Amino acid sequence: MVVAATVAAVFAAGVAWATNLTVTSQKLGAATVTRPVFFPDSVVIANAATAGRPDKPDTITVTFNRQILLSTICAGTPQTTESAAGFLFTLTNGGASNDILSIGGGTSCLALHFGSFTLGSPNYNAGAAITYPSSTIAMTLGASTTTVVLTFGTASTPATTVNTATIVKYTPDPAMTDTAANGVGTNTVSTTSAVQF
Amino acid sequence: MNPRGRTGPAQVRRPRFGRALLVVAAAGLAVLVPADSPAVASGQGPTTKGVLSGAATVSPCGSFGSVVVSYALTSKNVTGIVISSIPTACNGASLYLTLTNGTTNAQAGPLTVASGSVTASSLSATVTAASVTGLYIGVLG
Repeated sequence: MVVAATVAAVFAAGVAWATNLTVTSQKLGAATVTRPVFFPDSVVIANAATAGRPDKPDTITVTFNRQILLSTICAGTPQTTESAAGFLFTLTNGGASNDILSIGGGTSCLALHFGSFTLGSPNYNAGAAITYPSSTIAMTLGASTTTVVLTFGTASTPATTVNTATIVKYTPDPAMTDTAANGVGTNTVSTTSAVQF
Repeated sequence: MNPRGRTGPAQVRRPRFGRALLVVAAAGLAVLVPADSPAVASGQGPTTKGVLSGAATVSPCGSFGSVVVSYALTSKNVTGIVISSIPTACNGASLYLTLTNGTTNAQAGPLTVASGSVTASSLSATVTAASVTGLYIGVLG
């Protein structure tokens, strides 16, 4: 509490009164604020080939705390457990910054709204974008959750192996909503620190 | 003999250092400062009642009804929070936040509001996002 009271007390008549009182607070406020309703709450990466390198058939599993309205990921998708192939994952060189893995559409969905992953290193790709055509996505609807499993297809060029512990952060596409139309917002979820892929 | 007819030394009325309270009423908030705090001057007379009061108006820096809260999670736990769309009049103030699940309180702050936003990159305790029942903020400046 930033309230400074300058008190010069005078006790002449048995009652003390301030001769000077200064309150320096200029900004006050308190509130109960609305907390996020719909968000991804875990992401786990599993290696299935070369450790430390994103390659076929490594997987990324993202779990959401509510049922995703699947049509917000890809228009026209029915609200049932789905598995589809023909997606395009792209590993972009971040330069001095961390590389980015984006999840794009393809033959199964031209305009996919799933989001991207900020990898915990700039060293997976130092050159042109690496693509993983024929990647797959499986979406499983639970009673009150959604699990999405992304599986890498064959890389256009092998990525570089990163054998140090890193943290990967998933940022959803803000177009995604749950079945009650709550937007996913800018909530993010990260892996624990480990050698990824 | 003293005035009451008793023998012995006269009773000396000792100074009464009652618990003086400083009451500051500011925007509905009361700040109580006990008399033994540094704010009380020395040299009170024996008849001091020690009650001091004052009032000042402090305007809130804005409404928080439109703030946007985003979680940063790891393994289902809230490990960070971003609060945005804070009224710009609050820029420069200190924000404190508490996330609770009714059992555990995870706190952060003071965080300086800049450009209507603050980021708490860590919290004082671990709370799973699904268990959160309330999120409270306070802004002081």
